[in-house]
Amino acid sequence: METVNHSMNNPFFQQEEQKVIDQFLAEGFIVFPLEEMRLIHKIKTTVYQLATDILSQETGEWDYFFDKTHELIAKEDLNDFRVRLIAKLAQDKTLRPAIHAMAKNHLGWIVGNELAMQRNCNLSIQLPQDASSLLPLHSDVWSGNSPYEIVFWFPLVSCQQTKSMFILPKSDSEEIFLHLKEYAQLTAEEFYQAIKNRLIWLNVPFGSGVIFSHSLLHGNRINQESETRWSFNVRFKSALSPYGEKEVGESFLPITIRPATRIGYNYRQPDLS
Amino acid sequence: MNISNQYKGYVFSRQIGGQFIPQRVQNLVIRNYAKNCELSFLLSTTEYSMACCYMMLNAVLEELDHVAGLIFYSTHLLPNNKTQRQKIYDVILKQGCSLHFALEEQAICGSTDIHLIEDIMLCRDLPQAGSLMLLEK
Repeated sequence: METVNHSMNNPFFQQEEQKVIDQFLAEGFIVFPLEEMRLIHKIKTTVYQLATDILSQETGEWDYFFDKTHELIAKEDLNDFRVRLIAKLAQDKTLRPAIHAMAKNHLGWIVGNELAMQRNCNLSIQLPQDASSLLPLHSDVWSGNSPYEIVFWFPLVSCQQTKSMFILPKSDSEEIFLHLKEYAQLTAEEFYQAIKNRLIWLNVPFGSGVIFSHSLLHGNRINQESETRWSFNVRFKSALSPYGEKEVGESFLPITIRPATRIGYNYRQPDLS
Repeated sequence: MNISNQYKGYVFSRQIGGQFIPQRVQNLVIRNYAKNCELSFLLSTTEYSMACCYMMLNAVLEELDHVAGLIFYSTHLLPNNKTQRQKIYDVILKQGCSLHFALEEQAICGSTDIHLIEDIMLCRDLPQAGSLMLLEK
């Protein structure tokens, strides 16, 4: 990743938009209040209802259920539960539009207004002390994702410290990438230990979300807190920017192609021959 | 109007999106899609390997009264030419059939479903189109 000074002051951007852009260019991520609080409550309610259907047992009030999921689901049953829950969520055609709506302005400012959205919404459930669903330090671009993609990450519970995710800010990531040869022989754990003091653990209260460039180094560790983490992550990109191994159709679907683009795509010069 | 409930597969013997996908793999993806959607899968037709050749597809389109629809391995198997694509959609829908794309898990069951498939094609085409002239009629 080439180090570039992206600082810009564009008179076409409004003040709030400029502030978000500057922060994203400087750090590679932003934490922001979700734009439609009613939708995060709706999503949380849907997840709660589907989850309790699957468990077929008394799960208590939803705050208890989400924070104390580890008291209701054994570690060995977690993956099966998660797979079944994701399959049920995939049937809900309102989920993807709701997720987009919760970050619509921020996505517009950071990515653009003609968007492609990942087909599948990823749900992460991290029980305390559970090592079965960890994502070691990594950059998604290294495994074939387009650097033009961003990740929209939002929790259904308040997340901090090891209950959350970590990220290496842009300037640090760029510096590591410049010297990656020095780290290339390390294991993922050794790599983490080598740079852990530079990582930021994101503090994301319920009702907030994160947009980050997945080219930056990020990941999570064993949840050492006393509560379960529930979070979604979904990738977005400009519909017309280059795709990586995750292609349009297969992994991404265009969601907001604008009419002028459609007209332009369908325009053909009259044939006078 | 057809009365069959069987769906015919359609696979390529030439490159798909710049890669050779073994026909066995293409058929596995189609079979899995058909199973998930509870569609009865009839064997696949394999398109000839010559570039831009759709002779086998054209033959299949003439026999739509024997099937409920077609399952393409992918939208990548559609012609680059938009007019040709529209003709395919029209023929299939006019026969009361549906057109499925196993890799993308998408289907055209009515004219409103065409938009998403065409948007996918748009997103593939436009980043590579240096000028208007590069887009075929």
